[in-house]
Amino acid sequence: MDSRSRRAGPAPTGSHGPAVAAQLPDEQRAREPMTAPFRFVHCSDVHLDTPFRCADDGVRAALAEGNRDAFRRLIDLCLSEKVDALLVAGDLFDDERLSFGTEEFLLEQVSRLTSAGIHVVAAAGNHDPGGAGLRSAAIAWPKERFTILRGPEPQEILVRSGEKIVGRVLGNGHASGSESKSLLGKFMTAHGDEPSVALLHCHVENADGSGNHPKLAPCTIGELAALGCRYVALGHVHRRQRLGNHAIHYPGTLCGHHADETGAQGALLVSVPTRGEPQVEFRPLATIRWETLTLKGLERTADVAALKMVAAQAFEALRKQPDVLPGQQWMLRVALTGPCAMARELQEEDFVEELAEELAAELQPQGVLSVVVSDEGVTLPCNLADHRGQPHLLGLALEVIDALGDDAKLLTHLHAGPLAGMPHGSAEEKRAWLRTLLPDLDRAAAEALLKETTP
Amino acid sequence: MRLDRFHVDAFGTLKRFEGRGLASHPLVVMQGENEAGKSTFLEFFTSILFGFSPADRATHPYMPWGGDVLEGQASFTMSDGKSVQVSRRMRHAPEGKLTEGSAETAIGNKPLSHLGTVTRRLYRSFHAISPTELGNLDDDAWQAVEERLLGGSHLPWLRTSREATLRIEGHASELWREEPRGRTRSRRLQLELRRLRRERAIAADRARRLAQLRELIAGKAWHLQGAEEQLDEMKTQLQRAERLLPVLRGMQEIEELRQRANERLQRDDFPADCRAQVAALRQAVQARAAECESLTQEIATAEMRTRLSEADTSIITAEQEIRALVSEAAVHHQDLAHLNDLDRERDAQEAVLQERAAQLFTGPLDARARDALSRLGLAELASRIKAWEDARRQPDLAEETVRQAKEAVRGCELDFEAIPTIDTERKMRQREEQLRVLQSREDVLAALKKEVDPTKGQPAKKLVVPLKKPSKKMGRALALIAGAGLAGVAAAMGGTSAIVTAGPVALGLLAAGVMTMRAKSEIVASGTPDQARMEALQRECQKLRAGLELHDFELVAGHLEKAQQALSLVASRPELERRLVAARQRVEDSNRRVQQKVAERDRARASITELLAAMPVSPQRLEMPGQDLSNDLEEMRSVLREMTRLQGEREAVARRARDRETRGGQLAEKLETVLPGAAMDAATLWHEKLQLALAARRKAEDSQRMLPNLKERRTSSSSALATARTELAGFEQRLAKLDAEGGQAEAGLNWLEQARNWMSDAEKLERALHERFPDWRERNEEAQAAQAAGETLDLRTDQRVALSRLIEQLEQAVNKLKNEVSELSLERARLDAQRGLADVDGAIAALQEEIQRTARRHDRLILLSAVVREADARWRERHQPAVLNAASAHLRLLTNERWERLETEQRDGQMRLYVKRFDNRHAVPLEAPLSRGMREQCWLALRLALAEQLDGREPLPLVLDDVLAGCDAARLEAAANLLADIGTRRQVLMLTTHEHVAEALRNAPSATVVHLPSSSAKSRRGGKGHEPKAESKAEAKSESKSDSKSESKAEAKSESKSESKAESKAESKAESRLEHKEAKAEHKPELKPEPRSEPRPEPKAESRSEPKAEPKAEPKAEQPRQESRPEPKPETRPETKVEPRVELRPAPRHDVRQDVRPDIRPDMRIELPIEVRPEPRMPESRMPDSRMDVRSEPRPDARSETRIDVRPDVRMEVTPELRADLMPEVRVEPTSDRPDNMDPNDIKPEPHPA
Repeated sequence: MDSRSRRAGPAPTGSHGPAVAAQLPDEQRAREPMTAPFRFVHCSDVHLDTPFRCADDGVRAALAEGNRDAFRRLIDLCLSEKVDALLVAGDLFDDERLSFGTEEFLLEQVSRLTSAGIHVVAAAGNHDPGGAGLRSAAIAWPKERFTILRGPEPQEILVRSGEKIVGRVLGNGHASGSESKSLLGKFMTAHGDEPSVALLHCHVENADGSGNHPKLAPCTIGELAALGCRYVALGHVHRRQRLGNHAIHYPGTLCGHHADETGAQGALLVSVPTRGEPQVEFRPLATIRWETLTLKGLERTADVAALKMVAAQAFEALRKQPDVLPGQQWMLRVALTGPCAMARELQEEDFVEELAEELAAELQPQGVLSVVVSDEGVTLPCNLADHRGQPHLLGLALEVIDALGDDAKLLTHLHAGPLAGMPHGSAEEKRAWLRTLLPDLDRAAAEALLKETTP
Repeated sequence: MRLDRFHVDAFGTLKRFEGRGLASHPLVVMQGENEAGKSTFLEFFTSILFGFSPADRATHPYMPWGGDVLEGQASFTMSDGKSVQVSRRMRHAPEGKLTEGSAETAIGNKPLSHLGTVTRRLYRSFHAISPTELGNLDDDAWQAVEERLLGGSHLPWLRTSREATLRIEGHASELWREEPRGRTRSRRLQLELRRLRRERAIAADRARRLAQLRELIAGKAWHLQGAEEQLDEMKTQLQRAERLLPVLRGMQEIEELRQRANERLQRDDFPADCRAQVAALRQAVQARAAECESLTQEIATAEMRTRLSEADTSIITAEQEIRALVSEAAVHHQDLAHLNDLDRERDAQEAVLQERAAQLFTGPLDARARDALSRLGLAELASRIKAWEDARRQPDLAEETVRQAKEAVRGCELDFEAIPTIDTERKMRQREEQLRVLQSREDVLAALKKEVDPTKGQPAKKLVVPLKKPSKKMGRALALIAGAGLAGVAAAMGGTSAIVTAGPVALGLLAAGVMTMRAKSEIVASGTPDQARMEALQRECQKLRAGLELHDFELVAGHLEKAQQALSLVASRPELERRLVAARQRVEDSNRRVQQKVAERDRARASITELLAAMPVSPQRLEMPGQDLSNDLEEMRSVLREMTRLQGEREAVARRARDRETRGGQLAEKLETVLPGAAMDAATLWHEKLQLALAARRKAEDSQRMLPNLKERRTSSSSALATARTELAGFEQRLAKLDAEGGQAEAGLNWLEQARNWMSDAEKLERALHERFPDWRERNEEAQAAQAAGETLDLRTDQRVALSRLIEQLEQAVNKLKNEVSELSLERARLDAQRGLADVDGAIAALQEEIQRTARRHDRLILLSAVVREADARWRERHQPAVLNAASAHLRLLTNERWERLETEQRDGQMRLYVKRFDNRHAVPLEAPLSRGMREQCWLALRLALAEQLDGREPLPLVLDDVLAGCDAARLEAAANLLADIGTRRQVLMLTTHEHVAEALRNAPSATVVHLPSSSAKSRRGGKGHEPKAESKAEAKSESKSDSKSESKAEAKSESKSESKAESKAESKAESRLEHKEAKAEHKPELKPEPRSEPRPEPKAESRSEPKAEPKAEPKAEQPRQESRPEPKPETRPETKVEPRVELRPAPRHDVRQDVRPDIRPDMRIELPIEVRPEPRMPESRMPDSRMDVRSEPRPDARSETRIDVRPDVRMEVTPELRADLMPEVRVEPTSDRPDNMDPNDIKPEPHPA
């Protein structure tokens, strides 16, 4: 029986899909014997040996080590929680970039689990596809208690605790890095008495942050819900989230990889009972955390010391968040926005870099590895309302800028010259690009035209 | 600021040219012929305001001929009514003076401070307008107009559009440029990205190599594992065999030995050591036999020793004598040695004695002398020597006394000789007296000289006066008292000496006093004056000095002191005589005592000589006999006595030796022995023989006692020998029985020992095996079990060698594999330690992010720059009309409201000027085919409007150089009204050659006319200047009435002539030279000369215009009169398409694509108030198309910049069709019907497309 016919036919007996479970009378459910829940850790997008977007070699090395450390903590979590399985929903590593040292590390850590009797089920993702000749196929994975889902052909893995089956994992993987079709075509539906968990690496439509990732193995929430599994463990989108009202989860990446992946990162500790809703608990594991400190209200911040103090205060507030791990390390991006008394100094690249270095040195005792200062939103501290509508150059410039948002013709007229960021796009693309440059352009105009301060 | 008065001393062709009272006239018309000096006056006026340019006499184009100084003055009336005078002159260097009220200020060659920020160039562009410059504005002037009038950033706190865009675009160009020029940030990042990509390729190769290594290492490891397993198996087999085989073999060998030994030792009843037993028996037999032999020999020897020889017997007989001699032999030898010692000592004493004798005596030490010496009384000799030594020193002491006495006598004699003789004493006393007199005279003379000499000071007088009075009253008394006093003192002292010494002094004083008194009395009596006294005294002094042989310069006091000292020695003469006599007496006494002591000494010496007379003592020693002589003699006597004692002792010893020799001889004779030497020498030999004889006698006695015992021992020994031989023979028979073959005892013994050795070897092997293999039992069992199992433990040697070789080969293979795996692992570790793909990709991603960020910043800046430009364009569009409104107002006045206004329009990024008619229906481009006169009037209106916007601290006068030549009478009148109206705000100086223009302007309110000196008059007067005429309006009117008609005709003719002259190169050489110099001095290459007045058009102008129609058509088209011809022929107007347009140049824009370094631009210009900035360039994309058809429709999206940018190089393509369309209208007669009553000079252009 293929998955299509299964999906089309009636749900098998004993299926504990949400829809099926809802049809059982309460008395019957109450009479069912209580068995141990299926407990596992769900992670995805570990991306071992992924390229970290950082200019500093030393920091990049620290980030790579931090990623391995997060994986090590993941294994520790599985061992300490004595879970039944570890489910890796794809992108465990970056295919050709995986070094042999990291491969040894990976096998060593996986062996810790398998030797402890914990099943490991890993789905191949688009970054570590399982096709023949690829890197994943060349790795000497453990022979026992380890399953890697190499291609779209779905597999069912029975997870045992001792001799007893505690759960079923239904999943498949990517055979190549460009699986543009849905992986649910041959996917089986849930069956059996034990809790079934679907393991997939796919791009769910309308998921938060899905726009930042290639649209591979696309599917929808409804399609996933129709699988009838008690829990759907997803990977691919790096933002941790639950999709809809179903137990469909993206755990996010195990460790942030760039400045856009901010916040605590880790894995989900899941307990799927034979009845009832799965219990999902997020466990932060990333020892290195990317964060953006957005500093506003810098009108009176006139020197570097004051600026550093403001940044330090904001960072201190960040460190007090509850999900911060002991010994947490940080990759900080300090975004200066709005009017600032140091706007002119901040236009100098060297000044900004020096400021970043000083901040990094000052916050290093608190675990800060690197600081990047962004000054794109910084403007002179002037009141633009005083100049709007005034009969002088600045007033007219503000008038032009205000009109640019809606006046496509004017925007086209103004970008007559070549654009560095959009050299070959169509006119519409260029206009779209220019629109992204408009925020705070009015303040930049004031900064360019005003000699010192407002009169 | 209004010009009130000027005076040109010399400036170009102008000399002594002046005007006065001009400040009250808002419009001043300066009229003159061609070459009258209009341009010169314009330059003069400019130089008055701004200084000379160039400020060099040699190169200044207006330097007068003939060596005159460039000089002039002007007076201005300011808007506040104050008057300012300016004077400038250039001799060798420019000089300037500014007078305000009573204050004068040297200004050098600087501009007047009242001009504010208006520079010379700006003034010449906007305030001093000539027809050729009417339509041209150079870039700087236009930039000033833009910045000050049209720009929207004149607020002090706001940057200009140009500043802001330059700054923004400069920053943007640092970030990114489209062209791969320079090292922009983006470029640097791209280069870094390229490098990283190369590094990534290397890292990818490394990753591939790592994969290969992984495979290789895995393969090698597999092979290695197999080889190691095989090797382990072989090694195990070999090791098992090696471990068990020694034990197995040991056990087998032990068993075999024991078995063989046991077979022989079943009949063993022999002692343990049979061979030792046989040897012991044989040794006992030999010992008994040797003992018997020895006893036999001892018995024979003892029997021989019992018998003594005869020699021994005789010696034993003389035993007593021999022993006596032997006992004395030692004493004998001592005596002989003592004799030798005595002889040597005696010889030594003799040598000492002879040595002393040689020192002391003159002759040999014979027996007499030895006897005398032995008998000499040394005590007597010592007493006599003592007496001699006492007497020896007495004569010396006496002689010393004599010498001292003689020295005393000599000293007295010398003192006596120093005392003067009587005659000398007398002479000395006379000289002393004369000296005293001379001194007194000279003292008086000196006193008189001081009194008489009037030239001497008061102190001299005071000295003189007391001398005068005492000379009268007390002088005489003083002298007498002094003389009497000295005499009295001398008398009181008594004695001859006192009288001798003090007497002359007193007498001198008395004489001086008497002489003084006499002289005084003489002087007083005679009544001679002091001079006579002085002369008398002087003569007397000279006489006295001559007598004393003194020179005039010698002081008397010194000689007088010497004389007195010499006289003082005379007093010691008697004492000296007494001391001399006593000294001589002491000499005589001392001489006598010397002789007495010498006699005593000689006697003492003689007594010593007498005592030593028996010995030949040397005379020298006798001459000075001292204690040493006594000592020497005593020593010699003691030596002599010692020699005597030695001789006696020697004789006693020699006697005892001779007695012993005698007794020895007697013993020799008794023993019948012949002695080779002395008898006592054989005493030792005799003693030895005696000892031997005595020993032989004792041995004989002993042998005699031992003989019975020896014989008994020999008997018992013979019996023991027989017993031992029997026992040995029995044992050897038993051993011989063991030798079954030969029956030999030795062979039987060997057979027995071999069996016993086998047993011993088995035990040794077993012990060694147990020690070497403690687990021998287990190994033995294991080996037995293995053998029982059929395993071959006992490998053959070839088998073992083959196995070892195989193991060795396998080990080599394993080692090789290990090395290969190790090398590959090292390479893998090395490659793995290098940057991985992830690391490089991370760096690339970070770099790409930075590139994207840079691009974003760049684009944002570019967008911002475009926004600023757009804002600037909008500002200009909204605010530029202020200037154009003013220009339009002027134009309406000039054209009698026929033309309404001036407008601008932006086309292709360039601004063009249009003029609209009063009905506001048509906008005509300000270019051909619009008539030149009309265009000049439009430009004049625009320039007047611009000039009013560009002033310094004062409204500056306008100087217009014949800009109304193209106006007809009506417009002249209108222009006069306009200029008069402007003149109410600023003074207007109008320069013209045209009488009708002057006439027309003269009618303006408060206008005045100044006539420039005529060129003909100047030429007639050799270039000398003349007084110009400044006419009032009334005067001008009266003159104009008289000959206005004729003047108008003449003006037309003269103008026509002058124009034709200009066109036919009729300008004078001086004028053309000045013009040329002016052009060079102005440094305005961008100011294109007006082709109308330029005989030879510039090649560039040709290239920009239509080259085909220009050469012939232009001269005719330049004649203003031709435009007013009633029927201009079509062929006479082809210049309409080539007529140079008077254009304002476009404000250039900055080309952001060029890397402009503002600080090093060669064309950078600095002028106030324009800031230093680079001349921006227009981007190529915005450059006007030089071939663009003016009829083309404006682009719908073209921005309407209000900049008055009229393209200088835009050419209108005049097609035949277009010409046909335009020319008929151009040829419209003035009187013909005109739909809009347009001025006949104005053509009807195409309606404005807008």
